[in-house]
Amino acid sequence: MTFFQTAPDGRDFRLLIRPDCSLSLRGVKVVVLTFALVAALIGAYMLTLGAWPVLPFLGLEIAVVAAAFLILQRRARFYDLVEAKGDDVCLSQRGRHGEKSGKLNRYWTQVRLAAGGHWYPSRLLVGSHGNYMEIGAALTEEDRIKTAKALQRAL
Amino acid sequence: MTTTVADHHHDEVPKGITRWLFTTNHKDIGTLYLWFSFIMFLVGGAMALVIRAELFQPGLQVVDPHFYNQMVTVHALIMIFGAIMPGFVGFANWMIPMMIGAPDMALPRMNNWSFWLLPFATSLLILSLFVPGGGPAAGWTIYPPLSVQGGMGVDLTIFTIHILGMSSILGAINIIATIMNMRAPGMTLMKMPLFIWTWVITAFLLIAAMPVLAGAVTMLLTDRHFGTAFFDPAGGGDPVMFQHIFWFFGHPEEYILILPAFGIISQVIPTFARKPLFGYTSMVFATAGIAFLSFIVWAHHMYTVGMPLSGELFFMYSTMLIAIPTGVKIFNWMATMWRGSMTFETPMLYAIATVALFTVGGLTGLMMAITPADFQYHDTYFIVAHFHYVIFCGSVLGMFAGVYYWLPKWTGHMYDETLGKWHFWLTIIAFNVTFFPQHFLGFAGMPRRIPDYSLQFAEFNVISSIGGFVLGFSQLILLVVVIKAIRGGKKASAEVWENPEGLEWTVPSPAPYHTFATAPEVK
Ligand code: HEM
Ligand SMILES: [Cu+2]
Repeated sequence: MTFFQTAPDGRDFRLLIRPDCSLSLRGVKVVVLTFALVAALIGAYMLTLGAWPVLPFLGLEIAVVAAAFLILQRRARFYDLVEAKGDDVCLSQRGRHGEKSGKLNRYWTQVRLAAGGHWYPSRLLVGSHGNYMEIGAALTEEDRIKTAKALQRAL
Repeated sequence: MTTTVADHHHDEVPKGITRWLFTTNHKDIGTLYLWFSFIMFLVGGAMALVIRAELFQPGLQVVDPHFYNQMVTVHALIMIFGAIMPGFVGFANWMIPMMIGAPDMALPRMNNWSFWLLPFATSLLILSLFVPGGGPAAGWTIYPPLSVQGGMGVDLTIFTIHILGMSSILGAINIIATIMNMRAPGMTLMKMPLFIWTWVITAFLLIAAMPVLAGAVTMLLTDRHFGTAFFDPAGGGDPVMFQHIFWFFGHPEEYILILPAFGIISQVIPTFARKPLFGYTSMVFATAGIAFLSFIVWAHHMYTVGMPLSGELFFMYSTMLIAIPTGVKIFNWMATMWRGSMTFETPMLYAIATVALFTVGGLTGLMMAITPADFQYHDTYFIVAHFHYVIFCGSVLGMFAGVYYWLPKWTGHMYDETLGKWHFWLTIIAFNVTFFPQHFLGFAGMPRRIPDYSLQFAEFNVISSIGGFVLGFSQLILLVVVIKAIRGGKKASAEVWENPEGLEWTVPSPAPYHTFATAPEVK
């Protein structure tokens, strides 16, 4: 989702992009615990049969389920932030490869939407002098195009 | 300042084989799954033709009995794990992000992995046919003691099942995570298309059932090589325990095979009946009910092992209960069509055939659910007829409905309707010629999994084999239809059909990298 705020002077602005996340941390707990409970019930039945080798597979799987949801919770905290203040444009980002930030001169800042080709998604690039940072990778194509246009208008 | 928007450099589009090897794009991966599924469908189909060629006449003509048993086993494993399950995962990859308004699957790198495990695993299985002692020959249910006594092919099969299980689990986790986490704002659970619902529940079944299978084959492996005696009475084990464990996985697996097909036809029927789906909420609850029941009916596959009477009764009644939610679904589909302004394009024909012919299999299931009756039917051709009516007419025809329905969306071109109709009618007629007589063979007592039979079964087997060959070769029409649609043809509009429901139809065809042309609005 994209959040766009403009200062009263109509010049400075703040653009924040975050990935959609329809499951809260509480929801994650409910889902993972449900899976764990079902696995525990199945495991208990298998134990009564004497089929204990099923247990490590159940355990391993629940660990992977939990890991998958935790990765997604971590990803929910990713963001791209573009802030324009006076003549400066500050970029900051938290993504898969940690945090990144940079500062550009507003007059030199370029917004590029590189088409993906075939059925691949496009990439939204912000930067100057051949030095670009990708933002909005977590958006759907439509939202990314809208964001690119909004950013272009604002700059 | 300067801006360049929509500059059409196709930078960094990977080409050739690396595109497919390293792709994390859901459309690429969905395509890989669908092609893989289709190839396995043809490979498994070729094995079925070996079986039907041998059974054309009584006596041994074509292959030796040991190879025949390998064909019976590997045909089933390839069809279940190679054709049907990956086929539905292909649909999930293509359609789920589009239907819920997400940019891609939740875990794209894991998605790549879960696909590429598949060709590796199935190659091992096919390779097992060529090792000393041949492939697995104990039937897809790999019951001990026979499976413990088999050769090295059984070890390869066990390894294959482990890898396939891993692939399915990773795929299921990805699907659940995508549906739970990545829905567009406004897409609440009870607004999700039914295809999404059936996949949530299928993924849940996969996550619950697959580790049980992994454990079961691990115990076979240790019994074979590491001196354990889980299934060996001489060491204090019990071969019947394997059956309990296997079917504890096996029955939910049957619903893993059918539920996504129910989801597909629940999308197709409203479009061509031009009416919204009747009883959406009851559909969701019926699906969940079927999933729940699928965990308490497993021993209907083993009525004849000598369970206590209370056990026989429990499993008989619980199995008969499945008819209720299944019936709810069937009546809902019929009510959707009732007084609709229906048209009969190929996807609709397939959806209607799914409803009608799956019901035949459901009814024979109900017959076998009755314990004393099943003592007669068990291990006869009646079972073979039953599960082909449910699996071929449920899962495979449902999948065909989905292929014809979404092919224009995938390729951007309409398929050839005339060829589609040929494919449909040949498939339906040949299917019934092949499998309907098998009910009579079963009643008359012809056992399943045998390469030779008594003379009184000859006529029905001739009919069945002729039907089988027509059925097999008719599937090549589908290949032609798909290739023609990829190559070109009439351009498909974004909506393709008349006012279909769902976010996927708001996207231009072929579904481009732009996922939405206007903000998705969930009604
Ligand atoms: C509508 C409800 C259903 C009922 C009441 C039912 C009942 C049964 C019963 C009692 C058997 C065991 C027969 C025997 O071995 O003596 C059986 C076998 C089988 N069923 Fe169903 N069934 C139903 C639906 C399905 C569905 C939806 C599928 C899969 C898509 C399926 C697939 C199978 C298979 C593969 C077998 C044979 C397994 C084997 O021994 O190799 N059934 N069914
Ligand atoms: Cu069953």
